Amino acid sequence: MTHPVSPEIILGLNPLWLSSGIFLVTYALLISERVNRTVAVMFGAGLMITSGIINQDDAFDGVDFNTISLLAGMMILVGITQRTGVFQYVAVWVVKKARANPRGILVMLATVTAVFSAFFDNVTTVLLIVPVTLLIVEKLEVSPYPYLFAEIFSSNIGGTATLIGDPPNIMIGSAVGLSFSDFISELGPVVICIHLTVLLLLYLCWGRQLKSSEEARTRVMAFDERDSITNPLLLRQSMAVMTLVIIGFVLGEHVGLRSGSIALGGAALLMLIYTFGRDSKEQAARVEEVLAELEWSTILFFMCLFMMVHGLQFSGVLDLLGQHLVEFTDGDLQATTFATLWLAAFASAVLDNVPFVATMIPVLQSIAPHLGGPEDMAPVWWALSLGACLGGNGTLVGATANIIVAGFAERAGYRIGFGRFLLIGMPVLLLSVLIATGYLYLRHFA
Amino acid sequence: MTNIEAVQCGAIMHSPPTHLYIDSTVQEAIELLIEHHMYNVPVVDRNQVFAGEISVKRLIGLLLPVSLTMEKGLKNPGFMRESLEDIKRRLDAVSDKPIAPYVATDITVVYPDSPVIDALMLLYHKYIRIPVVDRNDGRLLGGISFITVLRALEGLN
Repeated sequence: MTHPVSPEIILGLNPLWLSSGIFLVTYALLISERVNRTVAVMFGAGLMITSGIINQDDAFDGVDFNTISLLAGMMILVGITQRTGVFQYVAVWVVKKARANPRGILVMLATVTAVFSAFFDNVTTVLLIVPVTLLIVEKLEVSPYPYLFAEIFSSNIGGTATLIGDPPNIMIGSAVGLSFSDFISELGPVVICIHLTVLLLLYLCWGRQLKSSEEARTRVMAFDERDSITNPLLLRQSMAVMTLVIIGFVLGEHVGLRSGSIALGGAALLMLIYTFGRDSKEQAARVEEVLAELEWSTILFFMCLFMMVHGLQFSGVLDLLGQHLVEFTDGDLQATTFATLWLAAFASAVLDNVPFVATMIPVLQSIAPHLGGPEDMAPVWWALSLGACLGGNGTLVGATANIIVAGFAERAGYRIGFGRFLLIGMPVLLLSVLIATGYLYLRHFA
Repeated sequence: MTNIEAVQCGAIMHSPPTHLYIDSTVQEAIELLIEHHMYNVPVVDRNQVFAGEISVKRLIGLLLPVSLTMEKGLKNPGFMRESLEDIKRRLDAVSDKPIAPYVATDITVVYPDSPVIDALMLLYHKYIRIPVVDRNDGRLLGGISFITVLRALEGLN
């Protein structure tokens, strides 16, 4: 849908070219990483408005506040929950369940990472799991590489499974109206299949080398996971609220409650519990403490990104891109689905998948009439989600979680360079996207 | 009117200061810290050029698993069951290694002609002992601590 642009457009330039120019410059800044990503999109959104491509009110209309609320709500919930030590508890518990066997630990920690990533953001998950992992591998005297790679891949794969697992899913779900249950039922099976396949691949690569002495295993078995819980009462309260939020995600769609409201509602309830009964000074301190950990730069990044992409949509660029996509795939739903899947995967391997998906959503919405209407578009949206989330495994810079884990590894004296990552990451990407291709074909086109 | 001359660091510093070489081993650093009851020691290269400081805090870090001391590392390691043997194993692994990787290099220094008030402000805000180095070639010339200042004040009496 093309909108009339403001008559005050700067120097009377063609809005199509001008908005594309602003968008490409912003993208170049994002890729170069020489400018902070939030600053880059603030710059892009600001130029879209000041150049007259879109006015401020229309730009604000482009912000998807459901996505913003969901992100903020989950950040608060995770921020409070992680104080309880529950993540370390689970990590140590599964390691002991595997009898401190290095191969069993590989499978267990990767699976825990995938499950946590499905419900919490990937970066938070690896920030909490990787230090425990490094401690355990030090005790077991085994190489950390298989574990670190397994956790990177699992965080990106696990995050694909749910509406809240990865920001692209939040954006797609919010824009298209796909629910928490839709994501789990559609993507859950293929994510399990990909996770097991990648684990098998890692096991074939490293499994035989993973051995440790009985003495080292005894040292790990001596860990007492119960001592990681710092606040048992808050743990019970957090778990209760998290469970309510998940139930809310599943049931909310039937009563017209959107995921953003449920996440923010859950965050408000947990903050109320966390501060209840304290004096006003202590309450203020606790609220400040929780809000200080909210990733404000990420929230601002999303808001400005939505504004910038809305400017691009206003000028008609995205409609034009959509028309080219339809010409390329001949308006065929199956071809469009697979083109979207592979394009999203490779684009997300080298670009931040959030701006990519933010751009693709309106492009794909614009071509819906050519593919039989919004109801028939479901496979394309699943393809976008699978491609954008799984693509993060392709390169070291494909996802923030990858860079965080590499940073941890470096600090512990183990380097994960771009080349080394590519050697393992690209086969994982190809394998998982191949599985996703087969799955989408069987589910929607066979 | 009387001229008031600002006292300079060179006038009150203790010299020569106890120091370690950048290629000294962790074991040598530990022995020196114990012998002199110090919390941090200046480190120089073989030309006596100031290279940084090694601190007790940094050496304690060597006794801990790296996942506890790294940035954003584990904050609550209560679930670990560490024996003295575990701690000794970690120390043994590094005791004959050079101290170079553990030397803090972002240390503020003063010069012999710096006003003593600068050194006092550094002692007040952050440091236990301030290295005094040659302004031209960076050689370690001396040090200033609270005790050094007190001794200088005693001299007035």
